[in-house]
Amino acid sequence: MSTKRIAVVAAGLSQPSSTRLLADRLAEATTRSLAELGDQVEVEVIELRDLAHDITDNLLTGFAGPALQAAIDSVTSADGVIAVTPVFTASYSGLFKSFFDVIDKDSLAGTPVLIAATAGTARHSMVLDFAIRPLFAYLRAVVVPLGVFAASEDWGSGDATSTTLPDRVARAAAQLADLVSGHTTRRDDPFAAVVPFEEQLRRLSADD
Amino acid sequence: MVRLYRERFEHYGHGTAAQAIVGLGGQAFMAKNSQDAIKQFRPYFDNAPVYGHGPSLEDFTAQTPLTVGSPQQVIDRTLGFRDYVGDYQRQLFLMDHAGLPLKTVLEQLDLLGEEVVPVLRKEFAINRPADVPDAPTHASLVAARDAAMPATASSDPLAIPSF
Repeated sequence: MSTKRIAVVAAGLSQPSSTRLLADRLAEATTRSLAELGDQVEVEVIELRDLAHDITDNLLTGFAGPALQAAIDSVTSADGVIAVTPVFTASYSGLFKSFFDVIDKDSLAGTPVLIAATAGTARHSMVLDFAIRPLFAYLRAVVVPLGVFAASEDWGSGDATSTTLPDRVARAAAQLADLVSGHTTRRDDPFAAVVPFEEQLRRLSADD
Repeated sequence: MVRLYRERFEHYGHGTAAQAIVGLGGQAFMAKNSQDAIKQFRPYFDNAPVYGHGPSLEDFTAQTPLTVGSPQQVIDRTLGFRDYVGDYQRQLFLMDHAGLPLKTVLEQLDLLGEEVVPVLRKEFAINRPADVPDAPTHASLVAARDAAMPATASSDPLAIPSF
């Protein structure tokens, strides 16, 4: 029985936001699934809209202000991440991408991630596999097999030929919970684990 | 980062961590009255290539060594840097950034030299541990080299010191 921390990154811009709504649904379902596995869950939601200026400032100055740094630390230390973006111009939104541009490229390595996206229609549902999944693959995150796409029409119920949104939400959340349950994120202080110089030299000269 | 440097300095036997040679950069813009300093500097800050169109002047001065205010504020803030990095050997001041006109920069140098640096020199020396070294200069390195080989000390200033 342990406590797992889930960080939810939501890139929606409107109030109310269907992106935030999908993020909340995924977080609730993940919490339920983790509870069934015997884990307690702390969920923290990060709305990128509130950090939009800070993210741009980080791009311009090279460092994060206090509020953005707190959000970055929350995401990179979480045991699991739910990342949701609206579809803009057939891809993830610029704000979503900019946030993941300013975190350290090694800081999500090994972290279980559930990816999701929203849009007006289902036309760009492949954004999950063509754009978002490769981004997290580069970051060496462990992306759960099922991504969740919600078009406006999905917020009703499904039909005989397709699964319903609540069903997909539950299945994706269960996949994330399975990964998170067996995982605790540990970020070592990079300044603490210094490889001795002699060892670095030895590694250079070893041929085998 | 400075802590890592100090720890590795000690690890490799160059001395204690507190004896590692450290220099800091700081940027300052001053006026007698701190509000005037902010008023005068803001137009340059807002439009400069590096500073402009990013964080506000207030945010930037809170999060970096840039100090915009009275000479006393620059003194107080600079003296506080020791709390972050320990006793150190060099403080560099950037005075001509952000497209300031020459006359303004010269005025800044006057303020720095007349009101800030003498006080900093005095205050930094108070309570400085005796075993924290001074910054290595060419003169001090040559003197150390000459002291190390007294019998064959060469008066050739181009002789390369061997340690």
